[in-house]
Amino acid sequence: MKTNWKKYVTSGLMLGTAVLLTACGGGNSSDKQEDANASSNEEPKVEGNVKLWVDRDFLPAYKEIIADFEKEYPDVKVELTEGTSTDAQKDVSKDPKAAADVFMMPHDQLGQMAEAGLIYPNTKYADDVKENNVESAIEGASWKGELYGYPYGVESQFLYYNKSKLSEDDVKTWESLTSKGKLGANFGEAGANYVFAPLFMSNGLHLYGENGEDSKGTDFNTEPGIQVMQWIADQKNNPGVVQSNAETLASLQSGKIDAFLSGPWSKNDVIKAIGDDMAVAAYPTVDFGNGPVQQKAFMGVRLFAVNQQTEAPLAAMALADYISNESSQLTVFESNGIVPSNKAAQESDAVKADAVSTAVVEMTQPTHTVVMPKIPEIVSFWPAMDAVINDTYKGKIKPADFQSKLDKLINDVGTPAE
Amino acid sequence: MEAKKKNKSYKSSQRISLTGSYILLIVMSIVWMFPIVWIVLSSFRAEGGAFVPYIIPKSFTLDNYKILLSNSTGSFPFVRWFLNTLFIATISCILSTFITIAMAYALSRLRFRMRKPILKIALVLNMFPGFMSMFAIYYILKALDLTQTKFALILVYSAGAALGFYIAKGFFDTIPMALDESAMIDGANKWQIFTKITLPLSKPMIVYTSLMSFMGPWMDFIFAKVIMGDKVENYTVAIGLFSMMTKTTANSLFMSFTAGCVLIAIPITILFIIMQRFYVAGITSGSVKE
Amino acid sequence: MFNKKKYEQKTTFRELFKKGDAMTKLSFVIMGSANLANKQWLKGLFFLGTQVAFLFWLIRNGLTALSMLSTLGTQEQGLVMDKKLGIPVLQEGDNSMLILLFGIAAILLCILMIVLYIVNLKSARHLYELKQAGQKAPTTMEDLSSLLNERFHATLMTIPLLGVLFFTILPLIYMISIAFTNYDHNHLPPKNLFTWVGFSNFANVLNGKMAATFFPVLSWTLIWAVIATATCFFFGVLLALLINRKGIKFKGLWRTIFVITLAVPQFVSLLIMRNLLNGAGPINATLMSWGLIDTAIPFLTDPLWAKISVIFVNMWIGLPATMLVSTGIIQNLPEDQIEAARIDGANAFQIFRNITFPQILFVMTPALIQQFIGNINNFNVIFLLTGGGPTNSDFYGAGSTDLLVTWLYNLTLNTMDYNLASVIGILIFILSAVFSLIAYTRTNSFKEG
Repeated sequence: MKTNWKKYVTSGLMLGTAVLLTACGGGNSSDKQEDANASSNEEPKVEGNVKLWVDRDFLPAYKEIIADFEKEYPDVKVELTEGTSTDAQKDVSKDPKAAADVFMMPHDQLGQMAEAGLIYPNTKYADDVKENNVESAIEGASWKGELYGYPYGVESQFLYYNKSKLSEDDVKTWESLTSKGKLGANFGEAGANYVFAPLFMSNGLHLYGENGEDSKGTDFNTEPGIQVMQWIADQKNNPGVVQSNAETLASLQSGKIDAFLSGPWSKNDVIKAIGDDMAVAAYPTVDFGNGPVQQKAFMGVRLFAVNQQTEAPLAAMALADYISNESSQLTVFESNGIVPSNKAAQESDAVKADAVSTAVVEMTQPTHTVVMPKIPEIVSFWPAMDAVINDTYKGKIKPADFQSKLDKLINDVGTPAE
Repeated sequence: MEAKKKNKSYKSSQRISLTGSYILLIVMSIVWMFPIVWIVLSSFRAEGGAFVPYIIPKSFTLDNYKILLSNSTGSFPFVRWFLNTLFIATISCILSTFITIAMAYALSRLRFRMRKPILKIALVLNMFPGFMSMFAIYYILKALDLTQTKFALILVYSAGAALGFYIAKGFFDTIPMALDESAMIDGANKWQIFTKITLPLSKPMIVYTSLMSFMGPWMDFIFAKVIMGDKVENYTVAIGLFSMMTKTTANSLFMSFTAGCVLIAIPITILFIIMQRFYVAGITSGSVKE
Repeated sequence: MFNKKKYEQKTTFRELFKKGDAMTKLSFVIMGSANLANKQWLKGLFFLGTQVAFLFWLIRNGLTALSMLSTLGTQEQGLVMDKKLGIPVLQEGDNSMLILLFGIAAILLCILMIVLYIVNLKSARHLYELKQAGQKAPTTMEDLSSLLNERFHATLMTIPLLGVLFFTILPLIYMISIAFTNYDHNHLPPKNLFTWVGFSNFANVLNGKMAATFFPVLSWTLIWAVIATATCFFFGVLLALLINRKGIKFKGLWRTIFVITLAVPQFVSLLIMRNLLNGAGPINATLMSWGLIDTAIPFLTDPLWAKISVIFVNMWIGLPATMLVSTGIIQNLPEDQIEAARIDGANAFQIFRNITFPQILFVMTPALIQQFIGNINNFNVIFLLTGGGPTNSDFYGAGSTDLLVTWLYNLTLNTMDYNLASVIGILIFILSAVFSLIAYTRTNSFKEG
């Protein structure tokens, strides 16, 4: 009797939730029901309506790709909508049911989204994806050993320079770069974290451990870290380093600076600013006092991900896989200059012929970059790192305090706010 | 007459101080107009990006406006956003003005048991950081099946107006009670006092309130985005324009952004210039005297 | 009339139940019966209809919503392998966030219903008393016309207050509740459940590593709010006086110039200001080309300069509004009083000090208090102009110009620690509520008005 009663209440509660959820979700789960009841003989049918979010600039390219996809999967209807990839976590977690079934996201939000149950593990196409994409992209698309994302591009900063002012040899080391020309660099304002935090890794240190998934694995508060701090402080007196942030492109155009560090997204602006004088190179080497080492950058992986609340998981996964395959990656490379993560696509002539993508491919080697950690705690790393680099550069942190500031940094980035 | 003749130096010192006032006004006007002039100039600028180290553009163009109005990429229906905003602003302006004035009038002129508690609670309610309630409101609207609709925005903007009555209440407080009392002796009920006596005296306040509530929807870029989500065709201009200022487009779309700003500011400015006539003339010149 | 009657009522509900006739008694169970018996059809049907709707809702959704509030959900979302599809499929679980929100909504609905129930009883009692006194029950028409007179306030305020209840009070209670849960980055819905944890979040904020940031940010917030409010008010009034001074021509034109700045959306003017004030922006470039300065002024990148800049820019934005309001007040001032003072030999400053300014202050005090609170929570100016920067390595996740509210914004949107953000929100709330209630009840406009 008692158990019956309990059962009744629980199912009542479940029903209530279902009513509540459908009342505000408006979704239906009938398709799923049908699938479950369908006879179990062969491959389940890939069908349904799926919504795809891509950034505004990518709409034309994906319109083409989706037309092909719909030919291959006639039972799937794709609705292509504009979404903001950098806000993927915010937008999907706000209301997962209303969010797109497949969406673009930067890989550094992956850990948090996987933990919150917002994205589907990529099991069905995992072998394909792992085989066809470069290793660092797979690393970026996985969390705690499981593959979640569908990588479609890799990203890294590199060096833009004005070749009428600087030669190829000049830009090989930080010292010659900043003695022969002026480098516009942002040490002093917000945003320094992304560009210069990897300096610590250049000097052999780790951010969240070897694989970027260990919340206690940051070791900046050691001797090599203090060397890096001293080096940053020294840049204030380096006449070849010009603090520049939002105004960088204007300064490049006016000749106030001859080089700066940025990613593929700046290409068109740089061409607009200096035209044919644009040249690109990998990051230079830097010397923290132990001889030259490669200056490193963060590597980013561009991903598609499937919403865990999707009504049509098979169709969504098929779509995510299709729009990140080799030919789709090449299409997006042609239209938006996104450097492919697909091994074969990286070897294609089109990619090899392009200076910017060659620089990115070179930069995304493990010798030049570290895959940006995707651990949820990284959100407390960014503001803390910014503050430390800014204040060190401005001379607000005295050398005597380097150790204590780095200790505070390690403490702050270990766990979010508590 | 007597006083004027009395002292010539009074007049000349008056003139000096008047000149001083003009100079002050001119200087302040320049400071206040400069950013706006700069926006207008940038919207016609052909060269450069977000940052140029000079004020007057080197060459002028209309392309920035063309990009906005032609919607050549298909993902930037500025005209549609503009009409959306106009619609939302107009309806919510009418509703909020009515609500604000009604609340202010009731709390200023009428006496009832819950009056003081309501005044205190309303004062306190505004103090919790508003954006924290965004997601809660989103789900309330979702339960009503209203998300991603223009009606949702109208509803939320108008509901918020109920707590913005303090300025209007202060205004009603300055209208002498004697006016109401004499009307009551003449047999008017409270509805008649409200519509026939108080409202005609309150034109400036009504104009002020409606202007403020009309402008709200043009400026809200956070909350509107939360409600509209990915429904691009229901965006307001504020969401649309703000979305132009992302990391990758901030530099290249800057001039189109300023062009959009100019297009938003024009109707509001015109509206104000028209309303200002009422605003200045609407103040009672005779009836308030005791 | 209305008040008088209330004092005459001495019947308690208990007496009413004993003495009343059958239909009156029935009102205790079926709302509106007494009204229907007295031919108040509209009122009676309204009571009855609401009761039926409420009971329907209570059985259908209300009880579940209420019962789940205590745990905030027990069923976790998970993935279960589906062999037919070859992929794991979603098993939906409870969503603590929605349970909390709709549980609170259900409580509010119940409270509303209780209020309506009491109104129903009062109405039945009123009818009973009228009958005892041998008077006729008011007809529907009479009831309706009282809405335009004795109960005009109800007509004016019911709908707005309902809006406030569901779009302000409900979210507010929800946010306050979150401070007592463990809704943080480790317990994010939909996969994870969160639950009640009592006061432990408060201890974390006031003792943990947040404290070293909380107190400096709090003091800057207060300094900012005082200065920002005072500058806007004072200079706004002065500007209004300047424009409205006798002898100034083109008053409308001057006013328009300043008011145009109100027509530009804040996010636009602030982003533009950020651009103008940049180290390489046009202001610095112009000053340098005139030879007035050698190096760019760090308007937004030096902590002190940044604070000055935000206060100035805030004036640029806020001053026209004050000017507009005080113009309205100045034009409404009793002209003869000023004239009389002038004849008595008072100079312009004395008139301002003794007549104009007190009057403006009297009218504007509530607005000022609101502005002050508004400035404590002034998100736009800081967020869009400096983004909280320049960064400060002494703080946790905050910059030198960050207010509590922008810091909160970062905490919620970036680290997703809603519970801690809510605690800080409550602290801001208590602080400003206490301040403004004291200030407000002391002002004349509250006492007299």
